[in-house]
Amino acid sequence: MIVTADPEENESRALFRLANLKGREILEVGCGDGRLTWRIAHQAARLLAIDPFEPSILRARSQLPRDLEPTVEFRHAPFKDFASTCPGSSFDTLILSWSLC
Amino acid sequence: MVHALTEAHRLLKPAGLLVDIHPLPDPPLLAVNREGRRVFSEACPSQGAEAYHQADRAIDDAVKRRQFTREHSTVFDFRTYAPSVAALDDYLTMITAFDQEPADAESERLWAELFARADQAAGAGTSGVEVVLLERARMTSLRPLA
Repeated sequence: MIVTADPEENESRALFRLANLKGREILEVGCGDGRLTWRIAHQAARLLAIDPFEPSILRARSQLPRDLEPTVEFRHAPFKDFASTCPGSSFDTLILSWSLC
Repeated sequence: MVHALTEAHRLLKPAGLLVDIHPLPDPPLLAVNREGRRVFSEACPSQGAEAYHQADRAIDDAVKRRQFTREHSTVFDFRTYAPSVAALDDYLTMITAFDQEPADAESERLWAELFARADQAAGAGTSGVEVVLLERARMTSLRPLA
């Protein structure tokens, strides 16, 4: 048995109650190894997931299913650095995933 | 945090949606189940509570200065399951590697003592052990205002 986070999927179920993600362009900040990413990616038109911890991003990339490759991109970047190079009005939904504090 | 919310506002389309997820300041609960029976349960040392309060205040301030309007807020349980106390410890070390406020020496000592008590309750080398960390988190949806 490996470590599993939120196998009950309470987090993604709460998210689906609060936000309609279907067909949306989404930025997920603090994606870690993609725990939440995998659970929402199938609804998104495009999902860019960033995290400042490179080992987590490398692990997430290695687990990216082929059918999600056109939709999901993992990028190693702190939010501040990413935002400084990103044009405004780029996303429909922005998720601060345990990363505001 | 204010900077992060300002950047989030800029990156969102006018009709976009910001969703913030962060833990409640209440300490998480560490539990050990052995063969389906709970043999240990204890509140974790307080860690990061001030940062979580600051996150709440940053959102409140963003709403007050009319950067965002709050749509909905909900609280949910977030459980992490591990086969041993050591496995949970390793996992938490990994996912908190980039925390803005790393644990201080006193907090690290309290966590080490907690893990030692939990490990003792689990029983070294015992099979059928499940270690559970229960956190509560708040999810808030916010709409950007012009």
